[in-house]
Amino acid sequence: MSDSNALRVPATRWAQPQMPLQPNMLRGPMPAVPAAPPPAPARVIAEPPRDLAGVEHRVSTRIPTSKRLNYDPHEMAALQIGHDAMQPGAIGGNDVAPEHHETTRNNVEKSYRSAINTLRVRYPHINTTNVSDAEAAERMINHMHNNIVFMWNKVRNEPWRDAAVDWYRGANKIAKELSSQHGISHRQAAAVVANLSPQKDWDQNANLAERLLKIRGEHQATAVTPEMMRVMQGLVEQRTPKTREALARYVRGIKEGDTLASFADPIHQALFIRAHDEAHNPDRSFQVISPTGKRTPARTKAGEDRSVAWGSIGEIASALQALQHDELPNISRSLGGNHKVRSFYNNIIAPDAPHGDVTADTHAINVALMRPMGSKAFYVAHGLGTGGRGSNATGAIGIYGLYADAYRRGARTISELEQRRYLPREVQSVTWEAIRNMFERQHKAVHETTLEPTHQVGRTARDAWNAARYGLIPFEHARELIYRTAGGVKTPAWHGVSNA
Amino acid sequence: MPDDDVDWARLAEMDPTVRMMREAGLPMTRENYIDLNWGGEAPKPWNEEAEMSLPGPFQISHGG
Repeated sequence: MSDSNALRVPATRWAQPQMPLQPNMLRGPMPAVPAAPPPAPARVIAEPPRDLAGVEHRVSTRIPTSKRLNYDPHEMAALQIGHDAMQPGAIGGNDVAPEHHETTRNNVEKSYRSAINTLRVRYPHINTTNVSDAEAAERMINHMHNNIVFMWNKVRNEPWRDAAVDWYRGANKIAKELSSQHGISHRQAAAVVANLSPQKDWDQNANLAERLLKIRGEHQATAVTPEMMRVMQGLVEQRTPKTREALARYVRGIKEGDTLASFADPIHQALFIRAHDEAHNPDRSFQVISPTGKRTPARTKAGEDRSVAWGSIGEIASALQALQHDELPNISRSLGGNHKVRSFYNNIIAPDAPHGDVTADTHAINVALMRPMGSKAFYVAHGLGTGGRGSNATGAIGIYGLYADAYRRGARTISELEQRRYLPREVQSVTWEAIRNMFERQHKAVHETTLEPTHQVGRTARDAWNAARYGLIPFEHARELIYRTAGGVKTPAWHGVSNA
Repeated sequence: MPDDDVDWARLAEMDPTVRMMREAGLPMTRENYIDLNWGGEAPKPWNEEAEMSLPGPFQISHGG
């Protein structure tokens, strides 16, 4: 049974099991046959782009790093991550010198095969038997598309949906406020936020950006103190002897009494800012920021303030590199080669751009696969770009491109169903809120050595997808079963919080 | 990613930790990158979001 057209076939076929359920095959009760989706309207939404603000600040979402390249990818914004970008056709005729063309195309082909081979081997619930690599990828995209549309439909009438639709507009507004407060450009503020985002939830991410910009703005003439030197020395000593010297040589370039203004290198500046914050700012608290910009203290379950923690010196230095000067290629370089960070920047700076940038994180992958997974899960790694061989010539890593295309396709389907254009980033932020409030931390538990799910919700998801793959239940039942076993979508904590 | 194809100078422009490695003459290895970038603050247990924040040439390939 294929999931490739589950949400596109006529309603009369949509919910009919092709084979009866086996007793005890799935843990938990079989859900009732879900209501069929509304029939697809004939009219395709063809609205013009609603707002081009910020489009001129976009960057490419994939950055080739091959030394055979004939061009500088930071000088253009057209390199988009997607299924097409994973294939040899992504190499243009003039991208590399003619003598390197065949080798480069072969390398891209190997990278693509590697990514799809991983899909065939590690995603048994997607039927990729006896189909081409391109068709296998298509089936994967369609499966994820159907899950995305399913999650959207589950929350489409929720009162918080519109706020979640506007999540990136809220982030754009926060970047604009940072820009005004600190005398930097809007795109520099967006780049600071994006560069500090790896492994941080949004609330900590925004707080770190505010801390960095505040110290940079208010302490240019502040001198390095002995306490700050101790923090920096501590950072050096955290390294093993093998790499310690690489950081120590930067710390040796900083002396007591030096001011932040005296440092031109972003690495020196990063050391100063982190050391100043940790040595002289006892307030480690941060706030929860709702999609509408409402702020409340971030607290633990015990009611204590949560503490913010800096990321690596490299990430802080990347944020500061974006502030060195405001040319777009510099902003682009500061963002590195990670699809997620680059897409996040684009979504913040140009939320209504028609280019279809998609920020795919752990939660976005949980939506697309409808499985409760933490950041250690294989599927998360594969989706985020660490699975499969990457291509230096295209800059495409793992199967991020398939996830991005699934959200783009999902946005098209939802736009048709809703008779209003929704952008991929809007579909992503709504379903992101939905899945975050459906799968709980305990649902994601896995066995220490086998990495198999140990919680009922995780096991149900695994079993339901396998059952659907082999025709024992329809894919629609698998989705509904997982949804119900997880307890459905809870209202986000931020919804209804007042500004008071 | 085949390392012989990587433009490390371009990567160093995009990643301050790679720049520090080049300046110090450190071998371009995954282990060196993780140690220099995070030191004792490397995520424990190591997780895939951390993995994805590594430059492509340092990421572990899960592919066949």
